[in-house]
Amino acid sequence: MKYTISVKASPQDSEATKTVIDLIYELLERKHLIERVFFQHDGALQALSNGETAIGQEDLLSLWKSLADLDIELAVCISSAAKRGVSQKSNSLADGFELVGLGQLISAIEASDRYIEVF
Amino acid sequence: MKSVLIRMSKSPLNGLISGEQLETAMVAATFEQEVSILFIGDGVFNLLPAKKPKEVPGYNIEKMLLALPTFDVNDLFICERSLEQRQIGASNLPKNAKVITFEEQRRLIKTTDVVLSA
Repeated sequence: MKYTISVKASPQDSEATKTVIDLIYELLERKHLIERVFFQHDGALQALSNGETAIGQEDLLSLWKSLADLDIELAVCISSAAKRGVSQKSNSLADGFELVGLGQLISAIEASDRYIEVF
Repeated sequence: MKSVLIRMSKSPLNGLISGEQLETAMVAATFEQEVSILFIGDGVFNLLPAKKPKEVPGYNIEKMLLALPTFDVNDLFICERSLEQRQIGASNLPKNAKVITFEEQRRLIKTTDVVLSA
């Protein structure tokens, strides 16, 4: 089945973030397809490149990057991102993410069998 | 085409989320999906006339709600229980929004393809 995953949790909620990453791997394991992972609202902060990770903290950005390396599309709502200080111009967009319009969420939903949101 | 329900449960004073959800409703309608909106919990506060919208940074919720019909978004629903709990009378609410019970919400969600929540 084809899935669209919407991430609305900020990276500060590392449990929710790890849950969604685990979910994506589990879906891939079971031969499902991921149409797109879409980051909206505070989820856009997942794409904020922070330079370095504090000691003892999990490096969520490298987890996302590993998914991008598997050709999973990590699409960040450009409008949510702009209002939270994430932009290409300020060089704050992390590797593996791309900024897209809200229409990309709708077209992904339309093309998918299932839509899952993670808060 | 899919039917999309936007479930709004955040107060308009709770950051940018409400405005972003209305934006999502408009884009979904532009992409020719069948869009409806459910105001529930503190989300019902979005429907009250703003006293001084300019003092709240971000989106002008009142103007966005007025613009919804031009995007062909006409199905607005309000949770009855949420209104009661907040002691909001029907006279304060927009005429085009329909107050519905839990049972009706259950049916609404069941007959909708996708629910976008926040």
